[in-house]
Amino acid sequence: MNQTFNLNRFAALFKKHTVENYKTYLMSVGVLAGLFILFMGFASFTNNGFLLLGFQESFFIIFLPLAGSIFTSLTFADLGDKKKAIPTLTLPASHFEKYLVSWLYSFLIFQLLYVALFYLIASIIISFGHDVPGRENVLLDLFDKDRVARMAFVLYPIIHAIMFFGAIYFEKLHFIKSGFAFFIGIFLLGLINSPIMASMIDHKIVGTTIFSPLTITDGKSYWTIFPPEIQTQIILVVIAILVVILWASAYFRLKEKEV
Amino acid sequence: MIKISNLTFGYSRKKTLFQNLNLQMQEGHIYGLLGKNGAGKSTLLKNIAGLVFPQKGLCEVNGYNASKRLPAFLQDLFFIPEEVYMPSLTAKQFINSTAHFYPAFNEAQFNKMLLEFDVPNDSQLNKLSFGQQKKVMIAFGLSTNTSLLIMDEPTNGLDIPSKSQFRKIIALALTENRCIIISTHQVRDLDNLIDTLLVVHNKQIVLNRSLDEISERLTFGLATTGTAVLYAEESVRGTNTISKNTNGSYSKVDMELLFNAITNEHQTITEILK
Repeated sequence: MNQTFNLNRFAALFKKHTVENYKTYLMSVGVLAGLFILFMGFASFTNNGFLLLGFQESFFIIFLPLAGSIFTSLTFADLGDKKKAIPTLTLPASHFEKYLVSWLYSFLIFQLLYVALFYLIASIIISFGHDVPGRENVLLDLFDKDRVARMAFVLYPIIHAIMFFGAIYFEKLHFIKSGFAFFIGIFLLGLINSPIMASMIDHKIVGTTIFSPLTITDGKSYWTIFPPEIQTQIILVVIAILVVILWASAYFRLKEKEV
Repeated sequence: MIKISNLTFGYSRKKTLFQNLNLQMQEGHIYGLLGKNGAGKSTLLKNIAGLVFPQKGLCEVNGYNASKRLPAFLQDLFFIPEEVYMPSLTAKQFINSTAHFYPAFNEAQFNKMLLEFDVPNDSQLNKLSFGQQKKVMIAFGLSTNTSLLIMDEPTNGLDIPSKSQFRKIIALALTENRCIIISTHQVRDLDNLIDTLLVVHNKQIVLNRSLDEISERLTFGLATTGTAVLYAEESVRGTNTISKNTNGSYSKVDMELLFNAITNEHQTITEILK
């Protein structure tokens, strides 16, 4: 029998995880549904039953990483509790299988449930509203090229990878510690960004944040320099590599986990 | 079955719990692991189960490096920690979700033990008392029929009748293909149960002998005249002593007395038992 991955063993582990956690997961889905109803219902109510596309979009983009980060940060909470960590680590399944179950639930299944729940509740709320002539009450199209809603699926892997690694790295207070580490990292990057840019550009930099266009001035005029399209793609590739590195680090951290 | 070679371990680099520790354990035995508080009993068991990793050296079980925690290694090992965790499932549901990870699991054996321990099998396990949860875990661990069963302070939380049932059940569960290690600080709970005594002290295993071997070398009993006493302790019945067995007579090993003698740095006794 393969010691890294075996489909039967993985299926048994997935089933065990589901049976032991489904009550908690159902309650989480209930809380998420409650939030959807509360926010979208309120938005619709205060706008004469009209659920603005912009609101749907903002809500979708903000709540996916927010709810997902809370859920993901609890993925390995058992390993921070000695009582639970021993049966988890000594259960006869490979580290990869244990990792994969947690990854599937927090990444794939969470996003599927989030999207399904969003559309279910949004469509119910819209069905209670009414169309005004020339102003149709419609559901958000996630793949509408004129909108940025799909960016949520770019943002989620980054947030997930950070929280997933934090969940296994920290023993307690996973969400707070991971979030804190993330913001400290962003702050430090922002702090060193300016001097690095200044060392490369022979003009006064007005202000720059990481991964953003550069604005320079000669005292009279201002110029904003946008990176070429290829560099935007490079940034996406760098982020994708970072996500994979964090996911891989979480796996190795699980392999090295001691109780 | 278990081979620990030159194991050095500590929770920090500066302060080690074990220094070049060597130990071998075989199937067909029930080992009693004794040590003072903080001596490293639980840590030694965790090293064997791959729950902590040595700084130096190797811990092998059935030829597997414990630190790798491979499924083939884990499916032949069951670890019952001092504090058990039970999910919110009934015993039946727990078996359905967990038993198939252990190829030799015997459900009939499990149900029989639950009956003997007087634990209901239709209650949510996390709602049971601590002692009952422990009994479920002991019954489950024994029913996995793994070749290695590790129990850390298993009698903590058990009432007096349960302790006696525990001894009976463990004695019946021992087969020639199985090795059981029980760590405890309640030496009396191991009476008439273990066949080999392990004592961890001063970062080393200072004793790894069967009770028969100990009895062949030492005599335990109340003080009598004419015997050269190696170690003695006062008790309400008189003075309990350990002396060298010079005439090949049999006496029951007083584990508590022996443990006290060893941990009080009684070198002569340690040397005799080496």
